[in-house]
Amino acid sequence: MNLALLNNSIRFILLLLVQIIIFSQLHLGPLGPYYIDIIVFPLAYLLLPFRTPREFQFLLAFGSGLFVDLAMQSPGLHAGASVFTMAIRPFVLRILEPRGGYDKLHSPTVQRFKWPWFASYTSLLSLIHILFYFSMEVFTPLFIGAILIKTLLSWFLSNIFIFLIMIILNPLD
Amino acid sequence: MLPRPKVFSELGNLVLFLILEGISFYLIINFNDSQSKIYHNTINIISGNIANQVSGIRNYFSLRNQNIYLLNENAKLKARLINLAEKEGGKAKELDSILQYNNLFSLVGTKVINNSISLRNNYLSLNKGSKSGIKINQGVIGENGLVGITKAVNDNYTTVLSLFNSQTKISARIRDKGYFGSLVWKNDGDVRYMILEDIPKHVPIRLGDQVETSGYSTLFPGGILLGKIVNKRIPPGSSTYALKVKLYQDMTRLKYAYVVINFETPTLDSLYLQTNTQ
Repeated sequence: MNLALLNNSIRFILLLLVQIIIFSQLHLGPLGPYYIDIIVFPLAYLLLPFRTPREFQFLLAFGSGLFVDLAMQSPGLHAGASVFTMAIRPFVLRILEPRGGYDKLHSPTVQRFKWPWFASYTSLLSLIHILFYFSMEVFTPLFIGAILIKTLLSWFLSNIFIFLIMIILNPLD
Repeated sequence: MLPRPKVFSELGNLVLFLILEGISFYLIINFNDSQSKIYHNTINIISGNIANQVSGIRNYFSLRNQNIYLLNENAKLKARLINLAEKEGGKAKELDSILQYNNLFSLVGTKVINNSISLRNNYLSLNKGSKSGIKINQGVIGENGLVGITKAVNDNYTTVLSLFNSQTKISARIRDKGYFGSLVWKNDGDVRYMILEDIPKHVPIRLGDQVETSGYSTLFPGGILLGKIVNKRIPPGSSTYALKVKLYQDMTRLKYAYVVINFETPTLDSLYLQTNTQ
């Protein structure tokens, strides 16, 4: 129990640090006019165990987003996206619910649910995070094209790195 | 769904979600430059439209007073033009010759369609925008003094940062004495007075001295009368005065305002950019 808490905390902090120290410094491109941002830290709050109280889920998502925001000087953008994604998480979980339902002691990890489930889970929710992020970054529906292109490019690359991180860490809970 | 330990109810979670999103949105529009501009512009369009309708109705009931006001204002301006043209030696053949001769400032007359004076940071809306040549960071004057600085502009409307705003700082000097300082508003809700700061305490100040714009900024021409000093005080531990200035301009009854277009601003701005270390 306590070990799981410790593991989760370390992983949470590690993912945030990896985001701001490595991935936020990479600006791939330009591909056309766009630079591709790689956003992997949603994994930090997406891997929270199912039993985490809902309000802590929101606060942790907000905190992680704000931390990355402060490092990247984009106050509010990631924080808003994280909280929004966290609000969507139960719906995605319901869509992906396996036949036996969820064990509330488990976490949404590869070891528990295998790759196809995990890939759909993270790719759906990271898509929501990234879409929200770029909508807020561009902040006007006039440039919906730019929002979508940036989102798709960033989403594709980010998920590759999310999967790589998951292969390296491969946590149980 | 899954049973979870609960601190709040489902409704509580919804409220928490909304609060956190609210904070995020607040951060986004306050600490990100481009988002903040887009936000102000959008609000500008919406509130501009609404305020224009309301103002249209309200104006209908005060047409008589406004006509008198405009008549006076026009008379004053024309007199000034004729005087200036006279001073140049020639006769006043064309009233707009002042523009060709002294190509420094021009004014855009606008109607005030929204004016807040009771908030901590106050804004005004004007019924003309970039189509009339208004840009952001231009001064706005009224009949008896300053009104504010343009903050956001779209095609047909302009949002003005009022004098009564914690961000506003006007370079002002004491008429005939030349000492200059900054005119600021203390958020005390009293829109009759502003405080003139940064005047050294060795300067002889008399109550009743008049305060005018210094002309050191490109926003406002120098020599526009702002008000008179009604109270002088040196804050403890300070080497400068805090002078209470009673404004001539009554912001609560502002109906029309003039945006100052300075033709030298682009030249000066490029000069400032060269000297700016940032």
